[in-house]
Amino acid sequence: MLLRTLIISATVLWNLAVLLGTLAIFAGYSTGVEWLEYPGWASAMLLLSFLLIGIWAVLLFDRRSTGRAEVAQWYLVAAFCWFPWVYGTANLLLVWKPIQASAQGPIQSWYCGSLLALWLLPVALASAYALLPRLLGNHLNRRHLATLGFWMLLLLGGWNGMDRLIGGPVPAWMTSAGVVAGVLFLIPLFMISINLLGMVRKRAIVAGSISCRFLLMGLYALITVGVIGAIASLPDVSGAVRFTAFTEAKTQLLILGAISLPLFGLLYESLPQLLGRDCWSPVLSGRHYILTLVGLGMLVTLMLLGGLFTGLALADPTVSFLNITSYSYPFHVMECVAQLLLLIAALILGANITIALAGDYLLNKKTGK
Amino acid sequence: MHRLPTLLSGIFLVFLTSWLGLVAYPSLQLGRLTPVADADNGGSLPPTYGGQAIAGQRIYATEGCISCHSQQVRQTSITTSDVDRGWGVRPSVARDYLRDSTAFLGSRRLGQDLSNVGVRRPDAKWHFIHLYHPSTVCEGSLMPCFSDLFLVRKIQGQKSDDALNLTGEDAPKDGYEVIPTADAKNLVAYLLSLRHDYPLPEAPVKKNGAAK
Amino acid sequence: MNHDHHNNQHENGSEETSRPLSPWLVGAFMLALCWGGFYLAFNSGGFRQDVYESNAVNWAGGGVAAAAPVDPKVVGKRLYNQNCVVCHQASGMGVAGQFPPLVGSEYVLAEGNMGDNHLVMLVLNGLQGHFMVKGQAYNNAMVPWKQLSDEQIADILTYIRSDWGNNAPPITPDFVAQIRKETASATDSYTQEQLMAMPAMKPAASQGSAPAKK
Repeated sequence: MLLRTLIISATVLWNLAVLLGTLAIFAGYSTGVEWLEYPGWASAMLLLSFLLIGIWAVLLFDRRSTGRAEVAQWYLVAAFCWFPWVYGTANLLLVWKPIQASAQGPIQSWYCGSLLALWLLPVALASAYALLPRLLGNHLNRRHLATLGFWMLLLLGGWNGMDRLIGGPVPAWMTSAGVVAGVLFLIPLFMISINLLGMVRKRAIVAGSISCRFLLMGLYALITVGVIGAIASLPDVSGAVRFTAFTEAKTQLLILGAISLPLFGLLYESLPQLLGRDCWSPVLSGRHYILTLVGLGMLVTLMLLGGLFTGLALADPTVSFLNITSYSYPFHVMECVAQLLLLIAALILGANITIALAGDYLLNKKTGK
Repeated sequence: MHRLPTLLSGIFLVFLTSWLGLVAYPSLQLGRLTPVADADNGGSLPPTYGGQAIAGQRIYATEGCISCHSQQVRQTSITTSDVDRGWGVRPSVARDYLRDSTAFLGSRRLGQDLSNVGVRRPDAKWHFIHLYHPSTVCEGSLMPCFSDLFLVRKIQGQKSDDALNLTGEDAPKDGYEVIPTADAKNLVAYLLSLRHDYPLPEAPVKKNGAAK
Repeated sequence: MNHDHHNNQHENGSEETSRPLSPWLVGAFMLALCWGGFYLAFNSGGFRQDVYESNAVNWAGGGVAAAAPVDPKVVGKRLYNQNCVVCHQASGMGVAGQFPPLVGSEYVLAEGNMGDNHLVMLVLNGLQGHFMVKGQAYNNAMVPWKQLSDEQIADILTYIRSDWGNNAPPITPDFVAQIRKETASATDSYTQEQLMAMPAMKPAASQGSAPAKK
């Protein structure tokens, strides 16, 4: 009973914090710190909600522990440890009691890198590690790779954020650390991806299971993120493309691809289990899958190309800024179209979930549950 | 590795490395930088902000300027294009942000870098018109109009000194004038105070166009 | 990596085979780490807090890395493209009969009776009426550019003196400032007569000698 109360109140509090924080930004109370724009009280609510979730997770883990932690569990433990530490530190030093602004740059970059690589990504990878063996009917065949990938991801994830500040107002060693971390970050991503992709034997299984397809696409996205990140972190490339859509493309691919796609896979796998029946509409699921992939592919390609051209133009001081603006405008328009495709895909997913839950509700009503 | 305590301590130690390097070190070193004395003019560098500029920082934050504008001139060992473009006479260093409440470093340049906009565009009137309708003064600009920072009101008696000098389509109806609100004035005061053109021990300024 | 057939032996789900990593992978991994180590060692400015340029290695701990000097010609070219190209064109050839060329122009190169001061004065305060450039007659007006800063004017002039085959010494911002101060009382654009009435100044000889007042 305690577990249920905890998780339900945490969920309500989290959603409330997100709603109020977003409204506060519209009302003009944004903090102006990138990725921490929620006013201080909203992020405090989020942190409190997360602490409740954390307590719930620890209790759950304790009660059902089999004594040996699986790979998926490593990632979840790491993510759960890391989020309050990173979110709390970043908010404390940047929003609640801001320290002197000369130090804020590295801290904010550390926060951005850690948020993606050490909180969201481990959660997505945990779903992959948990689900793929079962869906593919296979075992993880190279535990060394999994171990090595895990620890290297953790080591480099925080430092990887510094690729946002290559050449920035920080001591030279931080710039170099950003370059090195950005390039080496490819290694754990590569290891994890081939570790999981190496489990695929029969294509038929993959084709038949939508969550499998989402999970695998997420892993391909992950490799691509590593490659883009490594290229974009090289000092000469960064000098040209930083501040353009090229580096933004890496972030978008990480969030919308490497993190979201495995989580979609998790959703498609877990909802039928929760409801005890096969609840997804195959048509809507298929549409969602295709539209997401097309939208994401289009968005990332356009951002990479547009960012590259913009960056090369920006690097030439004889090209005036307004010229660059008008030159990159068509790319922005097409990126908007790609985002619309993603929006439609999300709406289709929303409809799918609503139908599944509504169907469940009506079914329960009929059987008098 | 398989048991929770080992896993937890390993995770903690590994996290600690990036926390030490990117949070503890900046807080203790960069966070304790102090202003330096200005040999030429008395006072200290970086120069202090006036009250309006401090208020303007809040407007900069809430209007979301950071989503399109950066405020850093990059080191020349990475790229010389920022300095060549005239966005600054020297690369920015950490001490430049000493007086800010939030370092608006930025990560996109959909608009120009603003770290030296007080040097490039020292005219407040230009800034007011630019905020009101950017494409009037910058043709083809994608910047949205921040017309909510301005008031369109009936001219009472004489035209106000603050009134924007607008022509063509931007001009208000006859008998009306566009004046900046306090928010707009604070924001522009902040923009005019943005300059990283003074020398610092770690960032000397070389006069360009040196004689043969 | 996909072709392993050992897997089917382990059915109970709690054992995963731990085949050793491919040597290629390990090799590539080690190589990457080595690169990372070397890069960090040589591009971190000695890990000093006050060194911001990553190509300064101060192992001895001495000195501070200085920012690379800006090339005035590059800045000047950009400013030229923004301000002057409309009339004088990107080729510096101007428009025949309308806008005089800058290529080989005696005004730009300070040849003959022209001095560096004439060039700076006409950029600051403008030129109007009839004038001759390279034997061609023009009757046009050049707007004053005194709203540009001393550095900006010096950069533009240095640039036009070095491109398109022109080769003349650079103009310094201090010289522009000096001329600006001396001609501060000018209210109207010069005519060619007024300009040539003032003695030519080459910067090396200009220290201390005052031009005729306008």
